[in-house]
Amino acid sequence: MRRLWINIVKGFLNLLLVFLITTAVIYFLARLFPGDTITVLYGEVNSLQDGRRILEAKLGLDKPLYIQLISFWQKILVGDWGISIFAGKPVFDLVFQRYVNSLMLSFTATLTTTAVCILLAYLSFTRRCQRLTTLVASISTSIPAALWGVILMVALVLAKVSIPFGSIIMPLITLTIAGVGVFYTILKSLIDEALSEPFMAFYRAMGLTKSRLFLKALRYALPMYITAVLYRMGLIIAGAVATETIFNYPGMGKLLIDAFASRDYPVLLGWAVIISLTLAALNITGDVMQDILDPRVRELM
Amino acid sequence: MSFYALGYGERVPRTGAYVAVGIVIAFLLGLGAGFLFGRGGVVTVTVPTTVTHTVERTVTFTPPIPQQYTSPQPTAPTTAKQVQLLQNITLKVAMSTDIKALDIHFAMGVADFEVLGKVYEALFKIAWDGSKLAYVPGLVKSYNQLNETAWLFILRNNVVFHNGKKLTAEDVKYSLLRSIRLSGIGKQLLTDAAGNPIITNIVIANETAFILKLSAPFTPLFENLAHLSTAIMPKEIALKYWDGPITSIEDVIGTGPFRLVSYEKGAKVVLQRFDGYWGNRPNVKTLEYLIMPDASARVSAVISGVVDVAVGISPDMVEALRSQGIEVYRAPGVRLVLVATNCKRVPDVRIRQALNYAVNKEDVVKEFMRGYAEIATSVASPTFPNVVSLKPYTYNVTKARQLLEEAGFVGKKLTLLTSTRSPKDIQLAQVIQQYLKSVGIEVEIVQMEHTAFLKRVFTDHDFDLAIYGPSPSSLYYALTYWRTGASLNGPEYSNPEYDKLLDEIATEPSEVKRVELYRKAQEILWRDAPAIWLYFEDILIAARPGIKGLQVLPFQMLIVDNVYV
Repeated sequence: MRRLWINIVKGFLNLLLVFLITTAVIYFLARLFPGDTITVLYGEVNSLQDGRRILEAKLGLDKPLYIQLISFWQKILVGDWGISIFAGKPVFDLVFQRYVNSLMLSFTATLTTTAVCILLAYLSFTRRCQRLTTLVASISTSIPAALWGVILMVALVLAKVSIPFGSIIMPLITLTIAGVGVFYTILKSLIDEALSEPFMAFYRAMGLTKSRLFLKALRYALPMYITAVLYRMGLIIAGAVATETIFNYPGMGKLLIDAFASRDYPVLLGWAVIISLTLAALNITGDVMQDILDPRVRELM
Repeated sequence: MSFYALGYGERVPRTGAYVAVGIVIAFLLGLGAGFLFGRGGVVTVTVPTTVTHTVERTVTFTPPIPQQYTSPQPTAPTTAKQVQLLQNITLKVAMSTDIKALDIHFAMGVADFEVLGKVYEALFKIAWDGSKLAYVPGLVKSYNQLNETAWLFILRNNVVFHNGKKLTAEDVKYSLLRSIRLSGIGKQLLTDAAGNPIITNIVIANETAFILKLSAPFTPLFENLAHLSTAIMPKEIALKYWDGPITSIEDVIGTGPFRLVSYEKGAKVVLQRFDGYWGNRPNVKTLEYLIMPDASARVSAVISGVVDVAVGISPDMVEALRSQGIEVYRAPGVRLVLVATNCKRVPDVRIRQALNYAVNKEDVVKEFMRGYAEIATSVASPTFPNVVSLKPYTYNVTKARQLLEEAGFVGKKLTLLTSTRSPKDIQLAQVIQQYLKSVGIEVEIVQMEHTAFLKRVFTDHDFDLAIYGPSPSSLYYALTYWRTGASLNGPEYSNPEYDKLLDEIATEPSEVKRVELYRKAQEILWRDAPAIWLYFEDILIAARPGIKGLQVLPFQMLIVDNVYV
C-alpha cells in the first residue's frame, strides 16, 4: 500500500517536472528564435520605437525572460491561460477547440487504422491474399502522410469530386492510409511471435477454429500493439501538421504553426501545456492498459 | 499493483524521458513542417485603398491633384429596376495567407488589405482604369487649399459606419491620430524624413468639415491619405484601442461596403454586405475568404468548385487551370521583385551595376515566370503616375566582368538571403546564383523563416543580397523606401542628393517642375542600383467561369463591386 502511494507521488512530481521543463524549453526556444511579436505586427516597418515600446509594455514583453516565464507559471496554476496577442480571445478557448478537433482526429484515425490492420492481419493469418496485404503495407509505409494528402487531393480533383476542406474526413483517410503500413507490420510480427508460443500449439491441438485462434493470437499481441498506437495518438494530437495544412483542418498542428509564425507566445505556451499533459496522460494510460491487459505484468507487481 | 509503471524496468520507458522525447520530436516535426508547408505568399509591404469606377459615377482619372475639387455626387439607385437587379451572391475566395490583424492600422500583408479593405475606407481612394492608377476623393466630398500648409476638407454627408453612427470630422481626427501613433505604415506615410508628423493639427470646423494643418507643404498628401493604413474608424473605437491593435471582431467597424461577421483563425473570414453603404451596393451578399496556404489545395478547390475564386496562382498552373475550363485573370502587379544589395557591404556602385548586368532579365521572365511578369525598366510600377522608363541594364557578361575587375571585386563570395515563405523566392535565388557564378561571384543561399528574415534584413541589415518585393501605393512612397535611414531601406542605401530631391518633390508646388524632379530622383536611384532590378510580378487569379465582372487590381486585390452571375 505504501509503495502505491510513493509511486503516485513520484508520478505526480514527474508530471510537474515535465510540465515545467516543457513550457520553459518551448518558451525559451520561441523567444530565442529571431523575430518577435512586434516584428510580426509591424512587418518590414521597424523604425517605430515608441509604437514598439507601447506594445511591449502592454504585452509584458519588456521584462526579463525568466520573469515572464515565472509569471506565466503563477497564472497557469490558478487557471489563467492568458489572452492571445492576435486573436484577443482567451488562450484556453482557442486551444481547447483545436484540442478537441485533434483529439477527435487522433481517436478516429487510431480506430480506423486498427480496424484495417486487424482485417489485413486476419487475411494474412488465414493465408489469403498474401500478396495484396504485403503490397498494401509496403506502399503505405513507403509514402509519408504529407504526400498521401497531396495524392488523395489530386485523385479527387481528377475524379471531379468536391473536396471537403476543413472537415475531418480527408485528414482521417490520409492518416489511416499512412498509418496502416507501420501498424500492420507491428501487428503481424506480434501475431507471428504468438504463433511460435507453446500455448498456441495447445489451442490448435484443442481444435479451435481459425478465427478463434486468430482472436487468441490477437489477445496476446494487444498490450504491445496498444503501447505503439498510443505513441502515434500522442503525435497526432500534438499536431498532424502537414495533413492539417493541406486539408485546412483546424487542429493542434495548425495552431502551433500559426502561433509560431505570428510569435503569439501565450498561444504557443497554451499548446505546450496541453500537449505535455496529454502525452503524460497517454503514457499513464498505456501503463494502466498494460496492467489490465497483460496478466504477467500484474503478477510481477 | 500500481497505476504507475515506475517499478519494473525496461519494458516501459520512464514517464519523464518518454514525454520529453515526444515533445521535442513533436516540436521539431512541427517546426520542420512549418517551413515546408509555410505560407505561399510573397514578401509584400503595403497595399492601399482602392476603387474602380462604378456605372453612375463618372470620375475622371487624370486630374493630378487640382487645387480645388468637388467630386460628382453619386446618384442614388433610384429606379426600382436597379433595386430588383441586386443579386444575393455568396462568393467564396481561397486565399494563400491568413489575415495578420483585425485592425486596419496594423494591416501589413496582401491578405489584410484584401479583407479589411472591403470593410474600411480612407479619405481618398485609388482608382484603376486598366493601365494607370489615380488618387481620387473617397470619404471626402470636396477640398480646398486655404494656404500653403492648410487644407479644408468636407466629408460626404451620407456616410454611416457599420454600427449605424454617422461619419463625422471627429472620427477622422482620431483615426488619423491613431494611424500616426500606432500604424507602422501610417507613420511612414504621415511623418517626414526626421520623423516629425506632417500633420501638425486637425481643426474641426463642424460636423463634416475639418482643416488639416501641415508642418510644411506636402504634395503627396492625397496619395498618402488614399492608403488604407490611414483608414477611418469611429472615434470611440480609436480611443478604446489607443495603445494596441483591435482584438474583438465587434469592434471592427468601418464605412466600407462589407462588414466583418466572423473570423476563424487559420480557417476563414466571412464578410456580409453592409446595406447602409453610401455608394453602390455590390451583388455579392456574403463574401467568404477561406485560408488555404497550400497552392495545390487552392487550385483543387477552384477546379472542384469548393471555392469560386482562388488567388496566388503560380504561372505554371495557368495552362492546367485553363484546360479545366477555369478562367485565369491577369493584371499587372505593383510588386517589384528585386535582389537588394547591401550598400554598406558592397559600397562600390560599379559592383552593384555589374550585378544588374550579370542577370538576364528577359530569360528570367520568360523561363522562370513563364512570361507572367514585366521586366523592370523603372524603380516603381509603371501603373503609378509620373513613373519613367529608364535605360535598361541589358544582359552583358563581358561588361559585368569588366566592371567587377575595375572595382577589384574578383573571386569574392556573397550570401543571398531568402524567406521560406515563398517557394518561388527560393527557386529565384538559385537562378540568381547561377547567373552570378558566370561572372565569377560565388553566392551562398541562406533560407530563413519569414519573421526572422524581416528582422535580419530590415532591422539588423545583416546580409549581402536579399530577395524581396516591395508593393508601394504610390511613386512617392516607393521612392521613400530608399531614403537614408528609412525603415524600409533594408540595404541602407544613402545618397544626399537623392534625399534632397525627395524633400523638394514634397514641397514643389509646380506640377511641371515636380515631374522633372521625380524623373531625376528615379534616374539616380536606378543608376546607383541598391538592388538588382528584376521584374514586376503579374497578378494571377483563377475564377470559376460562372463568375462575371470580377476585377483585379495591381495590388493583388479583388474588386467584387461589379460581380454578377
